[in-house]
Amino acid sequence: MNELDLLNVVRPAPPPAPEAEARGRTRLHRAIAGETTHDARPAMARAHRNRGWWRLGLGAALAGGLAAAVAVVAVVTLTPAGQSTPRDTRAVTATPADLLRNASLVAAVDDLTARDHQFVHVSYVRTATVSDGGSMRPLPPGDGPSASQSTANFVSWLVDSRQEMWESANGSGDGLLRLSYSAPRPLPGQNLPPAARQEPDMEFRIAACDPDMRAPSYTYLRGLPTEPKQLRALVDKEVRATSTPEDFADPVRRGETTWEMLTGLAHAPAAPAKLRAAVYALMAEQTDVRVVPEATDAAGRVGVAVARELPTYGTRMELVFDRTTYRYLGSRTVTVAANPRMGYPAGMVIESDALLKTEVVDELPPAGPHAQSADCGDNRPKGE
Amino acid sequence: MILPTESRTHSIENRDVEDADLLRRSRTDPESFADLYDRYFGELHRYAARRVVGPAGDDLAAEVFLVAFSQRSRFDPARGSVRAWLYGIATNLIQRHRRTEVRGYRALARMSAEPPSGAGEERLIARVAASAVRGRLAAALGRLNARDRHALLLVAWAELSQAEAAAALGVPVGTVASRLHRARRQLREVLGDVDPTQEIFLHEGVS
Repeated sequence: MNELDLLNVVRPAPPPAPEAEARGRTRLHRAIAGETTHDARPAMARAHRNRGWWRLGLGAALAGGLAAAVAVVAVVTLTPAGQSTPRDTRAVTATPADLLRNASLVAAVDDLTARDHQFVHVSYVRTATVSDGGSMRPLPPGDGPSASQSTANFVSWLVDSRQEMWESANGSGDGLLRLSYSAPRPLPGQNLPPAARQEPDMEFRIAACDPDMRAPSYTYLRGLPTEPKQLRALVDKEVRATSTPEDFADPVRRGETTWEMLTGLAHAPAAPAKLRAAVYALMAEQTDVRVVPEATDAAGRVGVAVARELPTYGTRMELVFDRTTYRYLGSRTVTVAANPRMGYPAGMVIESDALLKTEVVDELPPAGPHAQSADCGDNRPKGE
Repeated sequence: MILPTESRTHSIENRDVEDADLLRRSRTDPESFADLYDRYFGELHRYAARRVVGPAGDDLAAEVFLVAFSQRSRFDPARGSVRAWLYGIATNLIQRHRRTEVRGYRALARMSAEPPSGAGEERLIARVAASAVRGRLAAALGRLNARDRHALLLVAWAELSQAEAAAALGVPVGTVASRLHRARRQLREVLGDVDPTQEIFLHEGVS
């Protein structure tokens, strides 16, 4: 051992934190985007600057086995020429693709591995609108959420809950779900309707059911392909299987169902990191995906969201990420137009959740004396 | 120094050619520059974080790529590899943080006087610290002439060859060799007549 070797113990060389790497990449992408817009393609930049829309071809190989070349439509906030941007040491998100790529890098660090006979335990808080009343008659054709109606058919309020769920890692046994509810709250700017009621706390033994893409189990998630091309084919197949032929042929409806399917997968807390990376890659290639710079999850954490509008429902579905660490925080559904029938104003968060903890445990906690049993529902056979 | 084996040399050459191609491509297709980030951020970050401790080290590694991107038209493959060029940019940025860097070595030298708290796999490091070798080396690093320190640490920490270090610093190989020689001599002086290897194993045996 000589003095050069000894130098290596003077100060250790820790690997970079994923968020440091992600922040650096975002800064570089921003510089690349700035040059592409201002110098290399000035005519295009001028044409698109007013709308704030800009087509970015991300030729760079994406990390973690993502698609090698993905063309995405991205919203970027362009700095007007001549205006200097203050140097921002916090995360600066240029495009949904950048944000999703950073998130997939960070997800790899938190990857869970559960052995057979262990349980995946997930805690989250959720805020949802609960509605009562209203007529059961279907809306007349063409009556969408933005159609004007003078009276609200439903009364709605908000309910906060804390949810704890334990799921068998190999689907071999029942799981457990504990729900505890807070007092109901009125919608923003409204009074609490008399029909609003406090929900009792509940506990369910949950049967291990045959999973599908919209109700994925840990085993199911582990079995999905993590190569984006293969996953895309599988998602398309599921979208076809759950759509009417008319909806499947309609690009708007098909795009909506695909986004719902992908957010469902991204929303599954125990999704393996490689699958999550593939899901994020597919999300980045969807049309009309945008970044919402400020989105608060159900736990009150302010993050940045990747979102897509679902015009048929008059809502926007968002995945919220931490602004500096890119960790997945939760999801939200926000109205993009007022929905008089439901009594929702525009821009209202009608559903949000926040993932608090995901861990692997050896045992299921004992169910209380009042635990109910939840079976799989009409369409979901019990799996074995 | 360990000499590269033939196959290692070959793969390094391949890598350098690929990097230079990537850089050339990035002049017309700026997005392909991100591939260089993916290849080198990790090692440049490790190097920067060892030289400038704290958030400034994180920022520094990211800044290397911003500077490199903006100056990519000026890269000349005849003067060295892309990797060496990136370390050269890092060196210039570190130079701006020289005071912070030297303060860090002094703090480390003081800390090494304290009993080490490391255990387990850090045993060897803890032993070195206990023997105060680490502290002495850290203090010596802080006292080195900045140019000698750049040459020394590009070789010892970044594992650049002397030729690569010369390309990074923009000086002849002979200059790197003499800076390296001077730096190593100064380090050996602070280690005194103690054989550090001997001392480490002595302490290993005692516990």
